Amino acid sequence: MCYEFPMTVEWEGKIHEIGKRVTVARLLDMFSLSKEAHLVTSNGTLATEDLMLERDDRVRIVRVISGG
Amino acid sequence: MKCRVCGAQANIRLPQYNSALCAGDFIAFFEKRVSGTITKYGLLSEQDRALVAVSGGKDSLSLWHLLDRLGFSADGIYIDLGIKEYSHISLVKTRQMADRLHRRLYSFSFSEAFSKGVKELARMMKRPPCSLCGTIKRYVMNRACTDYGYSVLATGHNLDDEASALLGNMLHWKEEYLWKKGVVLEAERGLAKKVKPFFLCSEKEAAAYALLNNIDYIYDECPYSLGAKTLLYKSLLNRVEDVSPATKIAFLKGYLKRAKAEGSRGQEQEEKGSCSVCGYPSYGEQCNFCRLMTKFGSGPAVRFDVYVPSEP
Repeated sequence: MCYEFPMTVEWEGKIHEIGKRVTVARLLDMFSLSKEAHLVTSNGTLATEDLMLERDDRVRIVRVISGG
Repeated sequence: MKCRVCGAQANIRLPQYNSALCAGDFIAFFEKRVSGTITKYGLLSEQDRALVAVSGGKDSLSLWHLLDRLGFSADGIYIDLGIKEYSHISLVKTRQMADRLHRRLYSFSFSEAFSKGVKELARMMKRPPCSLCGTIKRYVMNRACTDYGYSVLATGHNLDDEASALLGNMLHWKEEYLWKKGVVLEAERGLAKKVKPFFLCSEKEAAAYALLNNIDYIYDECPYSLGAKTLLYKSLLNRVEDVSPATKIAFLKGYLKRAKAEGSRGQEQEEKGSCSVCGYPSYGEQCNFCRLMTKFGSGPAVRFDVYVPSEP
């Protein structure tokens, strides 16, 4: 039942599905990403690290570091 | 997490300032902070006409947008490096911002000037593309300022750009570059004043500002920056920042304090002459750009396209 509406996470052009509720901080940990180098949006809204992401949320991880 | 100003749901946590803010209060905070940098370091005045170096990325487009919001007169300069899809998308994004702000956008086409892109020319010269790109950009952006009467060139260099470059210079003890960084580089004969209003703002803040203002920027990296040492240094500094917030800003503020003392010791500088072709300051008979044009150029030395958005 809990996998019926998995959370979709867009990261670097790929869509990942997460079957459980997680906080933004935990999500970044799952992808081994630095909090200082990434932003996370949930349903188009910028989210702080303590925010709980729900299973049917559309989540996007945005890399903020660029340049050579 | 609640916004420290209004108590609503926060949208961004700023551990370096021990704060969290909602979208509206973050935008106000960021603009006030940049405005404070502009005032403190004397970057721009109401009388200045500024040209913003825009690449299509988040930093430069955010800077252009923000300077406009603060009421400064600022147009854009874009350099098309001839990197196929990447350059095309970048130009589209910069034009979108020119349309949004109703500001002029000057553009210089590398391919038109040299009949080849930066990669091909760099290969012929046996130079890294980034080094060649830097030479061309510095010259062309300054040339746009002098040709069109802009007193200041503003770039979107942020705290992370500066801290990573500083770390790189320290790791390799590049003393010739070590004390030359700064928020402002005053005008000299033939050189426009250069300013970095985002010097004390992190890359994450600049990206959040872009997202919250619906600024459509190019997300992809320049293909030649992949594997660049700068990205490694940024990544290392951010790992430190994650466990020890405010390290990056302390690093740069400490640097600025020391750089001021180093600068006042009076560095000996070799006297620069002028390029015999264009008059640009140069150590040789011709400046680097004119040497390139003499050898590889295929048209008039520097020609700008001027994009003027239609009236709203």
